[in-house]
Amino acid sequence: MRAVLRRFGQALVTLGGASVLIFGMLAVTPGDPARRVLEARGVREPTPPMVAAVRAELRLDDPLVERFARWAGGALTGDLGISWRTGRPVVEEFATRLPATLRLTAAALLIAVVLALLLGAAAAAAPGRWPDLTSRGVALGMLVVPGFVLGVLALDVLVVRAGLGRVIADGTWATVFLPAVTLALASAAYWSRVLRTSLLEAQSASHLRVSAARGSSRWRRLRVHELPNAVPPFLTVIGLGTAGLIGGAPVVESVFTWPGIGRHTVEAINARDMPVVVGFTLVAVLAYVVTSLLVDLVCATIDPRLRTR
Amino acid sequence: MTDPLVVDALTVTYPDGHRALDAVSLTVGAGERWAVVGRSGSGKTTLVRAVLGLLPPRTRVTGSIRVGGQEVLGAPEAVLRAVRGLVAGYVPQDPYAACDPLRTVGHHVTEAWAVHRRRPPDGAVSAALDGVGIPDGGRRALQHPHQWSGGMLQRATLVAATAHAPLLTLADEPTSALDAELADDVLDLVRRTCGALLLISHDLALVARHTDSTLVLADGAAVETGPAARVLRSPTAPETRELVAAATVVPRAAPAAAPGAPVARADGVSRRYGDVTAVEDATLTVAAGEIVGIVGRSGSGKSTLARLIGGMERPDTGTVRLGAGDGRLRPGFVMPIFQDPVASLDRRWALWRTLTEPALARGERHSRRARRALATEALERVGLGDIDVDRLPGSLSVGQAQRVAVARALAARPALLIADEPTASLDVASAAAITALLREIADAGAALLVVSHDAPRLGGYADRVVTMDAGHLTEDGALRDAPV
Amino acid sequence: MTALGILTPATVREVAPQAVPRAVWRALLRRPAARIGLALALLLALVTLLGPLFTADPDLPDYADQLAPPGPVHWLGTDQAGRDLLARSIAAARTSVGAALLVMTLCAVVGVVVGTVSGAVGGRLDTVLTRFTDILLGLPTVVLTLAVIGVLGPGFWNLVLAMSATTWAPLARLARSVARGSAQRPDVIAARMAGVRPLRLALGHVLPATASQVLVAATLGLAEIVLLLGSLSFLGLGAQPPTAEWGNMLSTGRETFAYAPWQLVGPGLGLILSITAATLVSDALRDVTDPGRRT
Repeated sequence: MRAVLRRFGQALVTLGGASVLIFGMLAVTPGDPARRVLEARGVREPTPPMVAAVRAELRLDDPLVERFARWAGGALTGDLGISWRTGRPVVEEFATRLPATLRLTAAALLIAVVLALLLGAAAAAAPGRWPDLTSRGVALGMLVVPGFVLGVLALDVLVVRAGLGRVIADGTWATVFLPAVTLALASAAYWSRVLRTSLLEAQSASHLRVSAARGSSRWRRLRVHELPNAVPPFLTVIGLGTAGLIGGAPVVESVFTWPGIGRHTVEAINARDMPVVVGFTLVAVLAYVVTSLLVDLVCATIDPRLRTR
Repeated sequence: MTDPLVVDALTVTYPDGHRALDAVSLTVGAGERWAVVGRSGSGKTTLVRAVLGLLPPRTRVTGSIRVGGQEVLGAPEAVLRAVRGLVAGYVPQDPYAACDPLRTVGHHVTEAWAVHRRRPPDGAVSAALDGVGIPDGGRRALQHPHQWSGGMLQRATLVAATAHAPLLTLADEPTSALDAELADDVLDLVRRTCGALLLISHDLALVARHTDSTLVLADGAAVETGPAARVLRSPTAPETRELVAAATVVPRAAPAAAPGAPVARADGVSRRYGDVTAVEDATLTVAAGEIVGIVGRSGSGKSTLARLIGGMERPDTGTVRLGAGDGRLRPGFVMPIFQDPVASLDRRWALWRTLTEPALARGERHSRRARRALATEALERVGLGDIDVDRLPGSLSVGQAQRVAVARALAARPALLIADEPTASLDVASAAAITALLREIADAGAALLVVSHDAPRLGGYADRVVTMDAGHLTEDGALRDAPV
Repeated sequence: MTALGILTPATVREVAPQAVPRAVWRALLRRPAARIGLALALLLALVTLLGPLFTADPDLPDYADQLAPPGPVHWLGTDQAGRDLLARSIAAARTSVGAALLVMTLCAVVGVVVGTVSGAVGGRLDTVLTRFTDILLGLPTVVLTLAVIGVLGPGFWNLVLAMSATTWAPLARLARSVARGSAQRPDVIAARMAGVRPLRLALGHVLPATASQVLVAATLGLAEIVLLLGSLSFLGLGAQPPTAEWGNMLSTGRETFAYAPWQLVGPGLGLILSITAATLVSDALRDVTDPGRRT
């Protein structure tokens, strides 16, 4: 119980530290936000009084600590500021795009887990023999071909030339398959390798031989001792890997013109639209911290050593 | 009644072609206690695995093994499973490695029942744990292995192996992870609870105390068989003689000369870590030319006392006087020797660098060539003159590495050497060589303080042995009769 | 697809004590996969370093020969400005691989410095540095990198800086634990008792151990760094055209893919081969230095 509370505290500290870091980025970004907002509102050549008025409106001249408190308070209540590019609230811009990103990551997560389970289990079932070698070869191939290269090829060869699927991905389930596979492949490869390792490690544990010496059956050893021991490392890497999917979303969304927050963020970076960039960072960080917290808690229910430490 | 174990002309060849056992025969009668001894790699563990039918796949096995009259070679899995756990109990070497960290201790203890589709009788687990000296067993069985101490956990695995009163108990080095005192406790329990016993060990003293008959294996062949007392007293096979000679410790006669001037003196020192008192009010003097041994269980505070006397740690109360006692010691006045010899040498440094580091630290300046010559000299002093000074520690055997560590300590020209379990990582032959070397060093005039849990061996070369128990120095006198 | 989490605390751990450089090399060379990886890396290095001597000027446009297919003159064809793609792909290798090595080195240096200072000095400074490192460790690297690029603006050096700024944390944690552990190492205690002075102790015994461990760990992350740099450049956040870089070449080549697909061959192969080399070597390195784990 103490360990669980400590883990919660740790997650909170991380989030707090992250928010300071992220706000710091917002604060040190060169350029006057007031001018950018004015530009977004269609003012070509802002006069000093107009700039001053916007600065007052955004309360940019308050002390940093106060601005941070207001910004953090806003973030907690779902207010991420207004986009420097469009002048619209960032939250509104995300709200229309988040579902598409969630669909993409969810589909990719599913595909990656299934692929990783298949490849990893096949490899660990016969270490050193052909299923293992094949699986490892496939995983290596999936790992070394960058997703965006694969995405470009898939889009142009399969969609444009062979006419499979639609060119314009509209963010619906109907078009999610190709981008999701592209996003999933490298993660699946990495996870399958981790699964193989942890299965092999669990297989070679000497307590299995002792259990066998007490007369246990192969099936019982697999069910009671091997699989449970292999689960925590695999889960941990999937938890951390979710960040990989979130981080990979901008690239894949850009390749497939997927209307999600990732592509929106890349456009925002190119336009130096910091509130949007910061908003994306916050959302991604939150997702990551919460996922790893959940994974750690699940692992602690499996492994008693994690509960007492 | 059938003999619990009959092994006949057993030959085991591993898939890589290594012949681990060669025509070994052995009969363990009901209630007999057998020991199988031999160096590591002599085939002891293979024998146990063969009996349990747990050799890796594609291993070629010929001959015959009958456990309780049942032939196990070539037997179907179902027959083997009935033999394992019920007819033959198995006590593993390292209790932590033998337990699934995710399962409770109780799970392991009752596993033999569970896998044979039986329910343990009510209260059986707690009674069995109670019987091996673990009170409140019913509650403690719900804890996980990492919450138990090694000695307790080993007793639990013992219960797991013997709770069904098997015809035969196979114990593979069941005490190598334990302290000497605990080892005897555990083996007493094994003797009480097992039917017939087959004990694998490399510890001849232990074998002599706990078994009746001995089988000596060397390179997979049975080189000597017979009553334990006869085999260990008057061995006939050269391999047995070698084993016995290496393990024999001749108690040292009373010190010939009076000890020299005191080099280190601890006066009423105490040291606490948090709530734990490691050393309390200990007084001990080490003089030039003598070896003082400190024995005690792990956690008794013996290492802490040594560190206090060596000035590596400061006492909370009491005083430690080193040398002239003016508080200013020359570097290298005290030098350490550690349990893990390989770790005590920088693994990135060729031997000559390590061996001449103390000289440079004194401020001497030498050319590279002179340093190598110095290093060669230092190695000659510890009997390693034929070792190339360019070698890295990792390429040495553990015994050689410990000698290099001693040479490095000597290179600092110490007045006092503090050795913490200097022989615990070594095989018997290397340990004997190191103790002889330490004796020589003391006879040449240095003071030595040796910490060890191995009282008999320490008795073989120390002038005085003191005992630490729970932080208290309980005995400071001339050597008692060293037990064998 | 990026940031698989290879450079994470779960995977960056202290390696086995037998990790003496020479021994590691010998063990590496015994593994076929590592030999292939090393050969591939050597080949890439040779082509990158010597290639420019034999190829055309990668930045010389030839508007008479735009989007030429591969042929005897232009082995990989030309791009929309008529520049030789082989020459550009080789020039791009310098940018891409160079940037990855730079990021790796920067991360290793920052990691060793922060970790060693933190571990050796201890006290308040250690607490502050460790807290900061822990926070960074709890955050997704790629997302942070994107945010930092947002601050600095796109560009080659900004990308290198952003990646280094966000990727060093696991290495610092590793360096700290090695440095802290070193003070208790028997060989260090013995040297200290023999009178070796602290600075000499740190330089002679502690730093080599820390540096070699961190370097091994950093090498394990190289493939991921190459991949991430390529991805972000592909998005236009790294080196800007006309600088040749695999990521941005793929991005421009993509526009004309439909009728000039050879645009992707050079940069695509370059990325795949370099990632393969780095992956093969680092897999073997992990096996060799961490024999407790099998991969």
